[in-house]
Amino acid sequence: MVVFCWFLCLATVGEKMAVQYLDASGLKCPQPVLKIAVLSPDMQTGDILEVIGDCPTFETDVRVWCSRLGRTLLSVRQENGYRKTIQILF
Amino acid sequence: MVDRLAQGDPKARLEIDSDDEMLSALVDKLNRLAVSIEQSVDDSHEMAIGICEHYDTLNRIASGDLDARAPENSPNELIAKLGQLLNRSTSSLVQTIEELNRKDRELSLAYDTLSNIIEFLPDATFVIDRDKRVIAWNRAMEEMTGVPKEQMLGRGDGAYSEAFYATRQPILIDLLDLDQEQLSQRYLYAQRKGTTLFAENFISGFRGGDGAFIWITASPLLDSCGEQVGAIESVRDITDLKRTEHENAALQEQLRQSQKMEAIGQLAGGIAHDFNNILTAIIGYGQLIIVKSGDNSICRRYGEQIVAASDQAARLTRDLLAFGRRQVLDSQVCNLNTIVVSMNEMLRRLIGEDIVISVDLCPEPLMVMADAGQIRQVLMNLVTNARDAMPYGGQLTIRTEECREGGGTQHAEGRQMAVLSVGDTGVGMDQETCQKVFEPFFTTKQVGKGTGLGLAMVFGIVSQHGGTIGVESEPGQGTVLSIRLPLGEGGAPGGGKPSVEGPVASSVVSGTILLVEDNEISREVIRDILEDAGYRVITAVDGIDAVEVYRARHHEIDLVILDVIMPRMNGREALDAIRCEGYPVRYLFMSGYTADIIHSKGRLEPELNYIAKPVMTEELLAKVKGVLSAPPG
Repeated sequence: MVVFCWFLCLATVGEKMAVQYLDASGLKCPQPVLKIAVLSPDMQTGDILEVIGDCPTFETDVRVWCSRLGRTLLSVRQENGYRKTIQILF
Repeated sequence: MVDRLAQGDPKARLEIDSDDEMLSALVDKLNRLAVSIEQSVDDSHEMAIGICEHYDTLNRIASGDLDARAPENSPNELIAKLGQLLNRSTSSLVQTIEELNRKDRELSLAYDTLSNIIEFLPDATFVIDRDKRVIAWNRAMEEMTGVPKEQMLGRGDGAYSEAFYATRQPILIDLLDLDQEQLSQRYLYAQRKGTTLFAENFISGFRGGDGAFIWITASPLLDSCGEQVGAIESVRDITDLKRTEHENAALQEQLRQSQKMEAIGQLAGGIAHDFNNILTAIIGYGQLIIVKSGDNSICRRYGEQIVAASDQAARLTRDLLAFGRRQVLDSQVCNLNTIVVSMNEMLRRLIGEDIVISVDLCPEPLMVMADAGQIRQVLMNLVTNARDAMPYGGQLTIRTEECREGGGTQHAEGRQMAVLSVGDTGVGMDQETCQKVFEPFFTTKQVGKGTGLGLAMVFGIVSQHGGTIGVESEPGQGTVLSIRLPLGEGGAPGGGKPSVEGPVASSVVSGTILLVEDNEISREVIRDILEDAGYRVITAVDGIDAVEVYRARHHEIDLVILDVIMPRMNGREALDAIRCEGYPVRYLFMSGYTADIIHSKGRLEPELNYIAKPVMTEELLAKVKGVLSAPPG
């Protein structure tokens, strides 16, 4: 049984831009992009969502999601194994 | 490889080359299984991304972005169809919203238009909704009530009635369900026409407390299904209109009264004229009987009775002539105050001891162009009437003052008038009696105690002086009769009555007289009187006849006596015609109907020789003697 947890943190960058965090570790694709989709209505233009995932197709799924929904993929940071941290600009 | 697949990597494959047939077959099956898993994973990812796209589209639409459209090109058929369905729904929603917006704009325009119409209606108007809250309160309503719309819009519970009555009470807009009878009990006038109500009311608080008459219209507002959604009421201040109507009615009544008096006056004057001719004969023959009878004969007594009775009839005729404004005025500038003062003692004797008389004279002299004798007659008649109105005593007030025509100082354009009023504290009169008091033979006195000509005479004399007369009275409240005469007409005060008698020369006692008279009975009696006195008399029946006779026999004619009113050619025209032919002529006019021998202002020309009918023998002979003693002119 896969146990996963995720949490959100909100931080304010400057006065306008906010960074939101999503930990999708342990979630199998396409669960991470569905979580991103659920969060997206709360994101304002200019906000950044930083997502951590460890599914092997995590990066591919996020790239496709960004491409088809018109969001900008800012960065991909490779960590251990399949684990990566991706920043999305809304 | 199985671990990688288990971690979610669908691209994991076994790459083992083995000669072992069973191993190769196992690797092949595992790889085919991995491909199958990869396809399933790709399908699930495509479905997930497609759902994400539609979810995002719905979010944008929910945020108000009606241009958002979902992708319809997903390789997953269901996702693609879902995108198409979502877009069709969005388009339908957009269309509906646009239609609603258009209708909203139309409604707004209609509402604004109606609001503007109500705002600029000349009548004070307000509108309430179905909850009786004020939704319109126009400018005219603000002006009428002094309540601004900001203070009234949105208010309910009948607050609008306070703007009219200062208290909350049902007004016409609240009474749309009442029937005609119920409405009539609440308003001065009320009428229902269908669902619309009309009413008239008096509001005491309006016009700075003077009160105002208002005309109210109220009607329910119905929707297309006939259900009441509100109501409208308009209010018009008709105070000025009612005042004008009242004044017009008063003017009409005044005109009617004036025409009636004029007609009666003409009738009375006409009757008096004919009657005077008859009286001339009766008096003339009565006096001839006296002269021809012995001093103690019964005939002489009969003659005296005839003459005495005829004198009474002649006085009655004079009164009628006064009312008919046919008398000759001897007008001079005189002070109204002086006339009153000169009458003071006589009036005090006239009224008796149980009546207190007070005289209140204007401090300034009131100079009027008037026949003082006639004005004395007027004052005596007024005082007599006042006395008779107070059988148990009371207060009689004679007052003179100055005012402007029309009654008050507001009528600046009116002439300055002198007022002579006589007031009593007697029984008073009702309105109907007031309207008739100036009619001849109208009297409230017992039979035999009044001729009904007293105030008729007053009316005639005052009218002939260019004045007016008014009466104020109420039953039990006494009466004030006021005459108004124009002030300050030209001419110098003083002067006596112009002499109509020439210097009497006792030497001339006979001569030839041309008597011109169309009335046969008058002609005969005057001829008899003149012949009896020693004159020679030639007669003519009208003006033309007179001119012809005079032309033929002017050498022997010493005097022409002419009746004024005659057919074909009147006396005045005949005299002018005779004079035009160059003959000097002595003349004497006689008439019971003086309108034609006085000039337009009703005054006797000073040089005019005139004798009034009925002709009294002594007066006639004296006049004739006087004229004959003067040189012909």
